[in-house]
Amino acid sequence: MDEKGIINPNARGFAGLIKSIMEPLNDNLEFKEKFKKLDRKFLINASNLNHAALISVTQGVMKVESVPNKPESNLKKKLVGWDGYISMDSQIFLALAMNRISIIGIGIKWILGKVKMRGILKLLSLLSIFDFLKK
Amino acid sequence: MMQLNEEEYQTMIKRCLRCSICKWIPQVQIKSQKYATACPAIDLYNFHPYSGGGKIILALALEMGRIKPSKDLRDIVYKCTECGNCAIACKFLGTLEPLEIIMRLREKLVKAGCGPMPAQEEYIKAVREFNNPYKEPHANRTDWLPKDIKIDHSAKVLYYIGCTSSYRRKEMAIAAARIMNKAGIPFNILQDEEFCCGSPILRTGELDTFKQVLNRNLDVIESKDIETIVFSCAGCYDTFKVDYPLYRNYNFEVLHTVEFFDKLLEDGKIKLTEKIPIKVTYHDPCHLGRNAERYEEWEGDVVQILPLITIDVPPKPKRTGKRGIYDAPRNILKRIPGLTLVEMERIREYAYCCGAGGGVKSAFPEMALNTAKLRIEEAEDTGAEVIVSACPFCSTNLKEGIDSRESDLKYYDISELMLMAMGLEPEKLKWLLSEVV
Amino acid sequence: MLQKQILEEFQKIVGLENIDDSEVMTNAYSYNWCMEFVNCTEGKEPIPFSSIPKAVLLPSNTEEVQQIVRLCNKYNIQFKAQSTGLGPWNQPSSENCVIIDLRRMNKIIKIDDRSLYAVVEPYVSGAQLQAETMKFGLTVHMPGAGPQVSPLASATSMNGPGFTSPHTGHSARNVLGVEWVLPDGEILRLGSAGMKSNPDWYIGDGPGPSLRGIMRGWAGAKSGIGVFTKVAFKLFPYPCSTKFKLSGNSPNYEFEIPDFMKLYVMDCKSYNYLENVFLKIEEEEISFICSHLSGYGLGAIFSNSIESLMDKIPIAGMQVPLVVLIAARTKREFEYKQKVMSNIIDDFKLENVIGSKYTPNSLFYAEALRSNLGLHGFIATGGFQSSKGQCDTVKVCLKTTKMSIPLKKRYIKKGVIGNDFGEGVWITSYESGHYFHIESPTMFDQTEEKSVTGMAENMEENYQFDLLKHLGAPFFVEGDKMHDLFGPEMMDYHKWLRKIKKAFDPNGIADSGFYINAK
Repeated sequence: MDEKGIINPNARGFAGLIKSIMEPLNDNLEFKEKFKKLDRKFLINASNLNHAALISVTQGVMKVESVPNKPESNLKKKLVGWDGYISMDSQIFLALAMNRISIIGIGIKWILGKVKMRGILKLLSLLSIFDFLKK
Repeated sequence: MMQLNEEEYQTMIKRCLRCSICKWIPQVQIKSQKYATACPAIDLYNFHPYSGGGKIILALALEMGRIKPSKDLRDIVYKCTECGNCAIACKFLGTLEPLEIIMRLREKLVKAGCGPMPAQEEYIKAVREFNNPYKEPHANRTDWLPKDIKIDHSAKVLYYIGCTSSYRRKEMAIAAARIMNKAGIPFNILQDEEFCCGSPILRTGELDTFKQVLNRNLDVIESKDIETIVFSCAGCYDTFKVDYPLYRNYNFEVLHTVEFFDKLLEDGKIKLTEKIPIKVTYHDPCHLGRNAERYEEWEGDVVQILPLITIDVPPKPKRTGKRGIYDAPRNILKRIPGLTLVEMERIREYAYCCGAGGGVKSAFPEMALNTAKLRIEEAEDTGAEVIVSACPFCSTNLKEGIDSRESDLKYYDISELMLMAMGLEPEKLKWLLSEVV
Repeated sequence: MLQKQILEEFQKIVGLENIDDSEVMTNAYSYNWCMEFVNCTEGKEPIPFSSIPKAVLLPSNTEEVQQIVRLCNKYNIQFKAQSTGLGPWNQPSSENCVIIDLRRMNKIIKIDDRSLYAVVEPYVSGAQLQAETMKFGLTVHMPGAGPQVSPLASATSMNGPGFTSPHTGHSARNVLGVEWVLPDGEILRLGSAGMKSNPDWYIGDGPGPSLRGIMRGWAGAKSGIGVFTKVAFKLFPYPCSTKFKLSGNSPNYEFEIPDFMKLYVMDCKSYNYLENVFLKIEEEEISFICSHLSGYGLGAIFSNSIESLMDKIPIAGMQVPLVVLIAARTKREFEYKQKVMSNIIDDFKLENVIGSKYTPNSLFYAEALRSNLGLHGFIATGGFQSSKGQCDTVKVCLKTTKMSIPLKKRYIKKGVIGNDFGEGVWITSYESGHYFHIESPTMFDQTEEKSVTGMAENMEENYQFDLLKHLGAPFFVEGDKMHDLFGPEMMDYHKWLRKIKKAFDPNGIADSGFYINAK
C-alpha cells in the first residue's frame, strides 16, 4: 500500500480482472523488449464498478494494483501518480477490448462525456500495450 | 471456509437447466453405453427427481411452497448416497453444486421434522448411546487389536480406526496396524476415547448431533499431542479433512493410509517383496476421491462486468475432485510385484459409487445392494480377479454385491494386499493365489 | 392426481413402481429450462414450472406405450412423451395430461456397420451411441443441445442442427425406419421397418407414400403426433482415429489429439466475405465442423467458465470469425484437406490464428468430437436460448444475422439480455453447404424477472421482425399461436398441419402445446 493506503497491491474487483488479463504479458519477451524503456502509470477506471486499475509499466515489467474509485477524489493524479487516466463504463471497455468500437468512436464518446481521459498522449502507449494482447 | 450460504443456495436452486448432465459421467469420458451413467439413485428408480438435478428442482419447489415436507419428498431426497458424481458432471461447465444442495435440503427436512429416515434415526441414537452406529458395546471397540501390535502412547501419529473397521472389518484395522509396526512407525490409538467420527450423522442432515460429535472428538484429540492422524476409513478421513474444518479449526495433519503408505514406500520404509501375480481393479471410494477435497477460503470480489454477467475475481476455487486421492493407491498397487492393475471405465473423480453412503445402506438396503452389484459387474468386465479399495464401508457393501451376484471376484482392502506383499500373510497369499490362478 | 380406478389401470400396464402421481413427483416433472418465458408469452407468472401433469409413467417397451396411449384415449387424458427431457417442449400444456417418461426404453437395438445405421430406443444418449459406434469406426449426428440428449428425440420430434452438421447433416435428414405409436394407439412402422416380410430398418420411405415429412416436418411435433419408440438413423464415418484418450482431472482434462486433425479460426471481417468463404469451404466437402460464431461465442467454445473466457478476449475480438475443423483417417486424406484449406486461405487472404495467436486446450478437440460445444453457451449468465433461427441459404442466414443486430442491441441496452454486441449467432452448414442453419443464442438470467420478461419480449419481437423482413420461418414455430401467425404468410401450411393433426389424432390425445391443435 502507498502512504495514504489507497493503492492496493492485491488488485481487487475490476482491477483484479485487468490484472489477470494484462500481467501474463510479463511472460512475453517481445513485450519486455518493446517496452523496456517505458516508465509509465495508467489509471483505468470502470465508472460503474469498484476498484480502478493502476497499471505500471517499468522497464518492460507490468504491475497492476487497485485503487478504490469511491470517493472519486481517490483517483486524482497527485494521490495516485498516474501519467494517463481513462474512465468509462465497463461495456465500453469491453467494446474497446473486442474491437467493437474504434478510436474515433472513443473520441466521440469522449466528446459526449461518456469517456473521460487525461494525459491523452501518454495514453497512446497504453493502446500499444493493448495491441499486444491481440497478438 | 466456503460452503454454500443461504443466499447462494436460494439463487442456485433456480439455475438448474434440467439438462440431465448430472445423470452421466463427464460426457468426454463415456467409453461405452453400459458404463455411461453416474447416479445410482436414478439408475435404480428412473424418475427424474432422483437425479442430482431432480433434487435441485425439489429444493426449489419446496422453497416456492409448491410442495411441502412429506414422506414422499423425504424418500426421494434420502435415496441418494451423496456420492457427488452429479456435482462433478455438472461442474464440467456449470457452476451449480448439486451435492451441497442435496445436503442442505436434508438439513431443511430435518429441521422441518421430516428427516432423517427411521433407520438412520436408529443409528444416530446408537451413536449417542454406544458411540458407534452398530449398537456394539463401546467397551468392545478395541477387540480388533491383536496382542502383538505395538502401540506407542507418546507417538505423534494417531491411527483412527473408525467404527466400521473396529466392529465389522477388523482385518483392515489389523492390516494397517501391522504395516505401521513393520515400517517402524510409532503410532497411538484412542482406545476407549475413540468415538464415531459423525459422518453417518452428517450425511443425514442432522447437523446439531454432528456438531456435538465433532466437538467431543476434537476435544479429545487436542488434549493429546497429536501431529498426524491416519485413517483407513475413507468416510472418517473425508469427515475430518473436509467437514470438520467447516465448523472448527484444528492443527493436525490428516492422512489416509494410502497416502501414508505410499510415502513410506517411496522412502523405503516398506518393501513389497512377495509376488502377487493377480489382476486387480481399484474402486475409488467417493470419500477418498472426489469428495476428499477441502473447501478453500476465497476472499475475492464478485464483479458485475456487464449487466447479467458477473465474474469472480480471482476465480473462486471450484471443488471438482481434482485434489482427491487417486494416485497414491494406484502407486501402491503398481509397486506390488507381479500384480497387474486394470482400470474400470468409471474411475477417479467420476468413479461409480459402491452404494453404501449417505445413509442409504441403513435406510434403503435394496438400493445399496443394487448399486454394489452394478459396480461388481463393472469390475468383472475388466477381467480382474480381485477388486481392491480403501474403505471399510465400500468393502462391506461391495462384498455383499459379490455374494449377491455369486461372483468369482475377491475383495481385498489395499492394506491387506500390502501385508501379503510384505510377506506378513503367507497363508492368506497362498490361499488367494490358489483361488485365482 | 389420477382417479383411483384410472391409476390402477395404468399400474397394471407399467407396474406399481413405474407410475407416480404424487404431488412431489408431478411438481418435479413440471419444471423445465425456459418455461419462464413460455409462461411469460402466455401471460402467466414467469416461473420455470408448467402445468402439473396428473402422473408420470415409465413404460419399458413399445407394447406398454401402446397400452398407455389407448388408456389415455379411453379416459380422454392427454399424454406428453419425453426422453432426456431438456427444454419446455417436454412440458404438458394442461393439467389433464400424463407424462410418458421413456427412460426405461434405453436399448441400442442394432448397429449395422455395413449399411451404416443404428437402431435405438428413446433413452439412448448421443454420447452413449457414439461410444458404441466408435468401436466400428463410425459416429452419429448429435444435436447442438449436447451429447447427453436423445438422438431419437432430435430425429423424430425436434429440430436437429449440430456442430458436426457439415459431416453428419441434420437430424431430420438422417431418419430411416421408425416405430411410431400413433395417438390413437396404433403402431405404425415407417419405411422398411413396416414391410410385411423381412422388415428391417435401412430405409425410411414407404411402404407407399413416405410419411417422414408428415412425422416431423422441419421442427418436429414435440410429442404432438404420437410416441416414437424406435428409430433407425444414419451413421457416418468417424472423422479420424477413434483413439479417445484423456488424462488429468475434470474439468481440465488433457486430450491426446488424434493424428490428422487441424483447427482453423479465421476472421472474415465482413458477412459478405464470410458468405463466399463459407460456400467455398463447404463446396470442397472437407470440413467436420464449419461454423460462424460471434466473438463471444468463439471465446466461449474455448472456455469452461466466464472467468476463463476473459483471457480469450484477444481472439474474441474477431469481427466475423469462422471456425473450421478438418479431420482425416489417413495421412493422404489429411494432406489433401490441408492443401485445400491452404489454397482457400491464400485465395481469400485469410489468416488462421490457431497456432500463432491462439492455441486451444486439447480438450476442445475432445469436445468437438463429442459434440459438447453447444453447452458452452451457458457459461456467461447461466441461461441462454435462441431468440431466432432458421434453416435456409447462407445468404438468408447472414441477412438475418445482419438485420437482427440493431434489434438485439435495443434489448442489450435495456440490460435484459447479455451483451454480445447483437452479433450472438451460430451458423453452421448442413451436408457440405447443401443448406445452412442459423440461430441466435441470447444470454439471459433465469433468476431475474426483468431478464426473463425482456427475453420473452425479445423473442416475440423477433418473430414479428422475421415476418416483416421476410426472413423465413424461425426456429421455434410451435404451438397454435405461432403457426397461426406464420401460416398465412407461408402458403397456409398451418391449415395442412391441422389436417394432419386431425387425421392422426382425432381425439386430441397427444398434447399439442408445442405442435398444433386441430381446431
